[in-house]
Formats: sequence, C-alpha cells, structure tokens
Amino acid sequence: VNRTAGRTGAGQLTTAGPETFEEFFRREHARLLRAMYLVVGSVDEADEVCQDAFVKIWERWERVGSLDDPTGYLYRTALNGWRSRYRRARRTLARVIAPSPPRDPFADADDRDEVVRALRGLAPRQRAALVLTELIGYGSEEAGELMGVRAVTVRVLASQGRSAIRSNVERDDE
Amino acid sequence: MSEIRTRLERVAERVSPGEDAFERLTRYRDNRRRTRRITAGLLAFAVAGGGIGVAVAALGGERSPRPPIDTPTVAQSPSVEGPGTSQTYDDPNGWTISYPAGWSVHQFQDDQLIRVTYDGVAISNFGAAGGVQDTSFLDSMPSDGVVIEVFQRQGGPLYIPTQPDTLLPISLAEFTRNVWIGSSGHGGAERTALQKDMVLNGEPFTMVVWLGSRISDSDRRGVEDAVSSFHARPLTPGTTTGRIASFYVLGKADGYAAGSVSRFDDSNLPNSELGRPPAPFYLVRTGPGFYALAWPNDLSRGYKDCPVTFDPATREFSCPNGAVWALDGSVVTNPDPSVHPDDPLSVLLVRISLDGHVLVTPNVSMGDTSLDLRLTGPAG
Repeated sequence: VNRTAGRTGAGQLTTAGPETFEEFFRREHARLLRAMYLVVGSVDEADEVCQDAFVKIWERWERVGSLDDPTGYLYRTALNGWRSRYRRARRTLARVIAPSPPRDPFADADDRDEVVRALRGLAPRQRAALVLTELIGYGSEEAGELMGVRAVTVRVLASQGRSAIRSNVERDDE
Repeated sequence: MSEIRTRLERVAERVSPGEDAFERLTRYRDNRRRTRRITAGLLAFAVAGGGIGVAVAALGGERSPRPPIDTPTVAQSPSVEGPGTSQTYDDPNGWTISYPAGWSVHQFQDDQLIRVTYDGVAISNFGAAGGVQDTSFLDSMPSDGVVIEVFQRQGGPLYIPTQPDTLLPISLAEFTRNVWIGSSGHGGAERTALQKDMVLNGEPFTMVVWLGSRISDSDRRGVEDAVSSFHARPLTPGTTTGRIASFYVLGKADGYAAGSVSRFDDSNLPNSELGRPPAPFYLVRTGPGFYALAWPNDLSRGYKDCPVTFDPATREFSCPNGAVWALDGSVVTNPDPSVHPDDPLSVLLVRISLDGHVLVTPNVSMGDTSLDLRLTGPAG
C-alpha cells in the first residue's frame, strides 16, 4: 500500500507544488476518521481524536507538510492522542471511589454484525494493529513505529485480531 | 483485497465526515486557541512569602535580558566541588540548574494532551529527549541512567497553587516517589521516579528525577548536586517574569512604606507575556502586606471606565463621574445606582518574589484583597 498515494492517485490531488493543509485534510480526513472509529469504537470519540490530530498538524504544517510521509505523521499523532485519552480515562476510573462502567465500544454500531462483535471483544491495541495493517495497509515495521511498539508485537496483535474476526464469522456461518 | 479488510471497510464506511468537516475543524482550532489563552490568563493564582530571606541571601546580581524562549543558554562554569567541571543550564523562564559535565540537555514541548502543554527540559547522562505524557525516552533508559526533568504545564484545568514559594535550595530527600509514572508500561531498565512540585516566583514548576536501578555513586552525587543547584535568577524591575501568570516585576518590597499607595501607569509597564496591553494600577501597602487595584472596564457593570485617581487626603479613589472607592477598592459612592450596580475596583494578584521584588499580574483578578494580603504579609 502506498501511503502517499493520495498525492497522485486517481481522483485525488493533482495540483503541482506544495500541498496546502486544507488539501491534505480533505484527502485524509475520511480515511483517518474511519480508521479511528474502528480503533476507538465510538464515532464521537473518533471525531475528537481526528480533530485534535489535524489541529496539531495544522499548527506545524510548514514542517509536517514537507515530510516524506505526512500521512504517517498524522496517524502517529492520532494514535498518540488516543492513547493519552485512554490512559487518562483509566487513571480517572482508578481514582474515583465508585467507578462507572467503561463505555462499551461500538455501542452505537449494529450488534448483529459479526465484525462489530469481534472488534468489541478485542483489546484497543489489537484493534489498532488490525486497522493499521489490514485497513490502512502498513507493514508491521511501520505500524510498530506508529504504535510505539515492536514489529513483532504488531504481528501478534494483528494476528489475534484476525483470528477473532474469523472465528466470529465462522460461528455466524454455522 | 483480503476478506478481513473488506469486512473492516464495510464497518468503517458507515462513518462519514460531514460536508462541513473543514469548517468544523477551523472552528475547533480557533476555540482551542482561545481556550489556551483564557486558561493561561486565569492560571497561577497563589501564594508567596515563606523563605524569602533564605532565597534573597542565595540570590544576587542583575538579571540579564530575557532571551527568546527557544534559545536557552548553556554556560560553562567551574564545578562547585571536586576536580571536574559542571555545566549550568540557564532557562529563559527564570531558573538555572548545574549538572555534571558530559550530561546532555534537551528541551521538550509535550502536547499530547488536549489543551495542555508541558514545556520543559530533560537533563540526563544518556541523551534522553524527555517528556511528561510521552515518556518513550524510558525505552532507551539504561540501568545506570538518570534523568532530571524540569517543566511547567500550560493550559488545561485551572491550577491554583496555594503554597508559598518553595524554599531553595531543595534536596532529593524532599521528593516523593511517583508510583504511577514509575510503573508506567514502557520498556527499558527498572527505575524509580521521584517528583517535587514547586512554586517559583509565583509560577508552578515540577521537577521529576528518574533513577536507574544501578546508577553509580558519582551519578547519584551528580543528581543530588544538580537538584540542590536549582534556583531562580534574580529579577529586574521593569520587566515581566513567568509565562503562566506573567507578573510585572516592581521594586523591592521593603522600598514601599507601610500605608503607601503607588501608582503605576501603563507608559511605565512592559507588555504582558500574554499579549495584554499594559494598564495602570495602584499598589497599596498596608501594615500586613500588599494588594493592587485596577479599573478595567467591566461591561456587566461598567462605570469605572474612567480616569481613576487616588486622593491622599481622604485616602479614597475617585473618578470625575462621581464614583468613589475606599482604600480596599470597595464602593463608597455609586454615581448612578439606578443605572449601574456597585462596581468595585478589580484586585490583581500580588506576590513577593524570592529575591524580594513585588510581583503584580494584570492577568489574574480576585474578589477582594484577602488573598493578596495573606500571600504578601508576614505569614505568606
């Protein structure tokens, strides 16, 4: 998968010269939003994570726009932002006396979908590894860089994710 | 295309960004900037006092002009003890620290949290990049590694320090073990995290020390010496200090007689670090301490948008529109109660710096003078 395909791919940006931030946003937004939805399990939260990531990149666009792979930077920023939110949420839960149950991921998705059910059963890191390698098409080395873990860890996490989806699908088929 | 990918795409495509996604992002960015500015302006309330004598004795000389925030100066200086040399890091935010020669300094700006940024410096014996939320530098921390981080938080929830300025010098024995960050899920060697929150010239700072499980005796001494070398630079009247509350630095506290009321006009004040243009205020020294009064136009009440003057004979403040205020800023005469509710003068936050200067910030105002008097009085 060519992560910078958006620059030259069909139906994508064709203008010569440096890409503006708005062009970058319009090219990458939908894909990032969908990827983060699969990782986070909530449309609203995925939207917030995406907005935070894009704003951070916008503030540094002069530098980020000149990188070889601004899209990779975008995904890393989004994943870092989501990890921070996740850590804070866990810390908050740990500190309150009577914690409310954590929000059910994919609570607003179609429960009859076997993939949704499989994703719900996965740990967030497994979902991230699965999405980066399967949906976005990163190799395990690159995905590991984005997630801040080793490539072998990505392979293990993604494999567990794939197995969960396959077993759910097979169970449904039976 | 793999079957898994097809299935994932099918789920993902249920989510679509709205047509106005970029416009929403623009609004979000603008709100975020505004929130940062407002929060930074409200931030840093607090305290003063204790330990001024000790700090004054420890501080001396004139403060050099403030360098740009991104160009810290690292100066070579002779080591206080021993045959080797140490280096001194001189931070643009008004503090310095000395550390063993051969260790490295990295500035970091950790902004992984929404609306919150940690700006600081990491000093280490293995080239750690540093960070507060992003502690990935721990992955490469060796068992004999040490890291000293000094940082400030900007933005986020209002932080109001209630303790007086920290007594300097500090020692490692005053630090508390931070269980959470000490056990965070990074790789690298086993280590201990020690933390101390401080208030330095009215601004909150945090120092975190990471110690590997097998650090050498000389590195341990290096850490202890570095921690105890941490101090504030002397301040210069007529400048500003601090990035959070951004105080005006006025004269030494003992230069204002008890009962004095001193006017500071905008023409004599520097621009606030937060971009607010200078505005005049009065500094009042009572027996117990100081407070400062200003008269920004209050739109919800709005009759003090006028040239306020102090009358030494009556010891009251007044305006040509008939408004009169008492020495503590409370309303004596409302020029037209049928139009305006009472409109007291605004009380600005005042502290005394570690080297004895009066600090006033135009960016934090309070309901009355009690906090100022507590922070600047003998018990502060």
